[in-house]
Order: sequence, then C-alpha cells, then structure tokens
Amino acid sequence: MSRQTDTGIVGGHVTSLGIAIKNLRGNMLRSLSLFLVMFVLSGTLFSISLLYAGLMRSIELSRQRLGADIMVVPSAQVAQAREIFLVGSAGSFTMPGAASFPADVVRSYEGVAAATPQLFAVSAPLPCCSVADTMIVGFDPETDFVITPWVRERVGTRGRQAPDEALVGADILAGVGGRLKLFGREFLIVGKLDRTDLRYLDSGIFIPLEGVRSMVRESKQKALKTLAIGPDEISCLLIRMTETGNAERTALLIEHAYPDRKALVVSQLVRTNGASLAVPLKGMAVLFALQWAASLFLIGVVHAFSIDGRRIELGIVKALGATDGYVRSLLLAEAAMLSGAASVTGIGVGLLLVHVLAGHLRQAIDIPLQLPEVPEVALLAAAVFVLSLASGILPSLYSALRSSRTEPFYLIKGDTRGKGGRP
Amino acid sequence: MTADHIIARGLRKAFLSGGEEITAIDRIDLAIGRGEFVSVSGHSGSGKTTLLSVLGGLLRPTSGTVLVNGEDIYGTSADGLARYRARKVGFVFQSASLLPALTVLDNLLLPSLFAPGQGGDRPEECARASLAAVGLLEKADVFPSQLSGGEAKRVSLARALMNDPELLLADEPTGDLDEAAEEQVMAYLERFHRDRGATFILVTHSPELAARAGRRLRMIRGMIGPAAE
Repeated sequence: MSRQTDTGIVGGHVTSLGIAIKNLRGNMLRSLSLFLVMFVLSGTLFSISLLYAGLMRSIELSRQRLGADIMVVPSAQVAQAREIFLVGSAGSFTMPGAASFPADVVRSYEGVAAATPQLFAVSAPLPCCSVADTMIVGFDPETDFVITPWVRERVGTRGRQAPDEALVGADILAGVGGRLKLFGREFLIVGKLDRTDLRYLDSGIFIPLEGVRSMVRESKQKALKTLAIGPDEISCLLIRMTETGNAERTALLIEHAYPDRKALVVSQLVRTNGASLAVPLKGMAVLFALQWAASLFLIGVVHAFSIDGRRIELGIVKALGATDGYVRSLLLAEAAMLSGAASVTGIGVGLLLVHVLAGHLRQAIDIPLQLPEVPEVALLAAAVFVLSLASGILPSLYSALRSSRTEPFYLIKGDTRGKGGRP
Repeated sequence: MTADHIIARGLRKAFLSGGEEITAIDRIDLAIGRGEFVSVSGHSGSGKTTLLSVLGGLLRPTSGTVLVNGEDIYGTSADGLARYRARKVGFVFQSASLLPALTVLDNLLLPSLFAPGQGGDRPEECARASLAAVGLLEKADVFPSQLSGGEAKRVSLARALMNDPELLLADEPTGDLDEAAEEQVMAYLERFHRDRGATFILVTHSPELAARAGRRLRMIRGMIGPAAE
C-alpha cells in the first residue's frame, strides 16, 4: 500500500519531507517572516537585474536600429547630437555642408561603406502628432541607409521620393495619404515607418533634403517662424563602415582633416550613454547588495534562534535514532523549501511588476526600454532562484551543523553548551 | 536470570560549569541481565538521568565503557550510535517529549523512519494498535497540544515501544501524573517488559515504584550501589 496523506505518511511511513513541511506549517510566524525576507530579496534582485539587462539590450538595439557607425556633427554640438540620436529629444543644429565637407571625400576613406547627410529642423507642435515638438529630418534618398530600411508602407512605386513627399515615424498620428503643413509648405505622407522604439525615428518626419531646403526658403514668406538654415548646411553626416572597417580610426582621420567636426563612434557613444543611464541602477545594486548582506545576517539570526528554540525537539528526534545527517538535512530542507517558495514568488511578482511598470519606466529613464527575450529572462530567473536558494540555506548552515553535532542529552536538556561532553 | 545484557565499566561523566569540573557519575561498574527490571533511585542531582543517558547512547561518558550485547556502544561512529538508539533502545522521558508540529500518529511513526522494519512491516497499523493499547486510538489525528498531560505521556510511552526495543529506559515516567494515570503507565511498561523480555531500567524518586523492580539500585553523589531494603 502506498499513499501520500496530509499527515506526511507515505506507504505507512512518515517521510522527512512531510516532517519538514509540517514543521514549517507548525511555526507559521517564523516561516512567514523568513518567507517575506526572501521574497523581497528575490523580487528586488530579479527586478533590478531584469531592468539592467533590458537597458543594455535597449542600448544595443538603438545602435543597431540607427544603422550608422559614425556620426559627424559640429564639435560644439556633441551633447545635443547625443540627445537627438539616443534620447530622441527634438533639436536642431547645422554645419557647413558639401562645399567644405564633401560626403564623397568621406566615402573614399578606407572601410567606409556609405555616408549620408541629414539636416534637422524642429517644428512647433502639430495637430497630427502625438509629441510636443516634432523633429523634421531632411535626408538624401539616394544615399540614405538610416530611414528607408524602416519604411513599412509606401504609396506608389516611384523609385525616388519627391521633394514634397514625407515619410513619418510610427508615433506620428497622420497616416499614409495624409498631408502635413510645415513652415507654410505642404507635404504628402507617402510612407510610414515601422516602430523602432528609437524616439528619433518613431517621432520624426522625414523629407528629402531638397524638400527641406525648399521649406527653409519658403518659410521666410509663408511661415510665422523663419528657419535660419543656410543653403549648403547640413546637421550631420552618418557613416556606415564595411564589416572590416575600423570606425575609431576613420573617426580620427575625419577629425584630423576637419578640426571643427566631431566624429562620434556610435558604439562608444552608446556605451557611454548606457553607462550613464546604468549608474542609477548600479547605485541601486550597491544598496541592494548591502541590504542582501544584512538580510543574510538577519536570516542567520532567525534560523539560529529558531533552531535553538527547537533543541529539545531535535534532541528527541536524535534520541529516537535520527543521525546527525538526518537532523542537518531536515533543517536545511526546511530552509530550502522556504527560500525556494519565496524566491519563485518573488521572481513571479518581480516579472509582473516590471512588465506592468515598463511603460512608466520607459518615460522615467527616457530610453526605449526593451525587456530581454524569454530565454534570457528564464536564465536570469534561474540565476536569481539559485542565488536566493543559497542565501536561504547558507545562513542556516552553521546552526544546523551545530545542532546536528550536539549530543541528544544536551539538546533535550536545552543546554546551549553545544557538544559539551568531556571537560 | 539470563546472561548480562549491559555491562558498564568505570563509567565517569564530568561537566564543566563556570570553569569548574562537576562529576555527575563516577566509578560506575554495573551489570544488568537480559530481561532484568532494575530501578535506580536517588536524590536530585545524584546522577540518575546522566547514567540513564550514558547507557542509552545519548551522552558519551568522559571515561569508561558501556557494553551492550558485548559491544562497546561508544566505540562506534555517531551514526552507529544513532542506529543503536533507533534499533535497541526505547526512551520514556520525564516530559511527554512529543513533537508539537506532528500529529499523535506521526509522532508514533517517527521511530519507524529511523529503523525501517524494526517494529514490523506495517508501522501505521502497529502505531494504531499501540494507540489502542494505551486507550488513545481516537486521538491519532490530533496534535500534542490537544492532549492532557496523562494522554501525552501515554502516547510518548507507546512511541518508545514502537520499534520493539530490547532495552527500555524510563526516566521518571510518572513524575507529573496522578495516581490512576501513574498506575496505567507502570502497568503498561511492566507488561511490555514481561511480555517481550525487554531489559527495563526505571529511574524514579518514588520508593513504591522502585520497589516494583526486581533489583533496586541507589545513587548517591554520582556513585551507585544496592538500595537499602
């Protein structure tokens, strides 16, 4: 006859697992306290790790989505360029273009696969748009490799976008076929971009350079606000390297040839930006590590008190024939079950919270936050589970070892002299 | 009388208390025959419980040997000593000593966890039969906190006998019981001793209970000798 009952009896025998579960149930206050401590620790660790992994992933995705390896901008505008490309803030700046900084020359550099200019302007809030200030980006359809890969839908089959036609980011409410009036000039929306989670692309209006230059010229007559951009000026030159091209070396060459330009290597920029965004998370991680250490001590103390309070009970069990190993296993199994259950709950709640709060966090940290893929989340959860389990078991190890090695006589007497014995 | 079951030679146990050495038992030489009923009496602090613990494998002596069936029980490992306790010894403690988180039935089944098969192939049936024998079958599924003192003591007694021990050690088993309950417990212990041929060592303050033993010993300041008639 084999049966499992609520009494922890299997096949007519009590089981160690059954006894451990009953002990946990029998000491509900202690069990609940330890559960809560481990729950908070696991949940916090998992949430912080998940956010950090998400942040790193987002930064890498941003780099990939931008498609450029080098961004050449005016030396004085590095900070604003960073804001535009990585954070997605609307902004505008210019530098002399083709005449003094020919893209063809840059294309001839070793390892350069493509180079394309862009010109930025900022529009006042538009009724069409979900964002306050809208970024207008003039791009060269002939050489562009940043905007066009993201075009989801496009009207017509023209090989080249006309100057009065615009592509819009995913956040722009107006759809394909709609019209936009920018600085007095009207544009037909001919395409919409896929969502990239990169605000620079999602909230921008992309118009051929020729169209933007016409808009600039006409703004003097038609618009309330005049755009002060020279006929040859551009805002940046985006460069894509070949597989074997050396972006750092090319950036140095450009800066050497054009001292008033700054060639930003995107991978470095992203890393720097990521590091600055990661600082608050790292700060939290340090505080959390201290909290974890304090909690380990607390868990150890609770276990020590708890086991001391059960000395007579453990002595009886040993008097009935339990080995040192059995007593040790029983105490550690209780700790493992408690921390395991707390860890699973903490991870579950942490995952739920991060998902629910992801939208708010995106706004708060001002970056397109992309949480990691399922396999990475699973790996993270497994790591947190193992760490939490160890953190629940290790602090109880000393008390468990001490009690298991104590002779039953001393345990039954409630004697705290440990092994006592021979004087 | 049969051959010696237990032989203690030169037993001494000393404790350190506040840096001072206190000798609890000293120069104990003792032989107890198989199936013998021996009572040990003496004042508090005379070393009765310490002696019982040393004989039962609960406390390693400072010096001396304890031979049970000719084997030195302290000449083995800690696990070997645990096996000795599980398979050969039944303890009845001064207090009821039940595990509070386990039901009465679980408490009775504990010895079968440490010595599987020792008390029979069907420990649950055996446990229920033991409970019936002490008149507490209906309490099988309750927790110790729901038992009276006498009931808890009877459960503890039933548990001590679960593995059919060859050595029964009882330390003041009726100390906190009324007269009727005391008689019930003693009758049960004596019946087990008689029916199973178990060696029975009873530690007691009570001259009446001590007088029920086949041999009466008395401890004075850690040393043992025959009790005066």
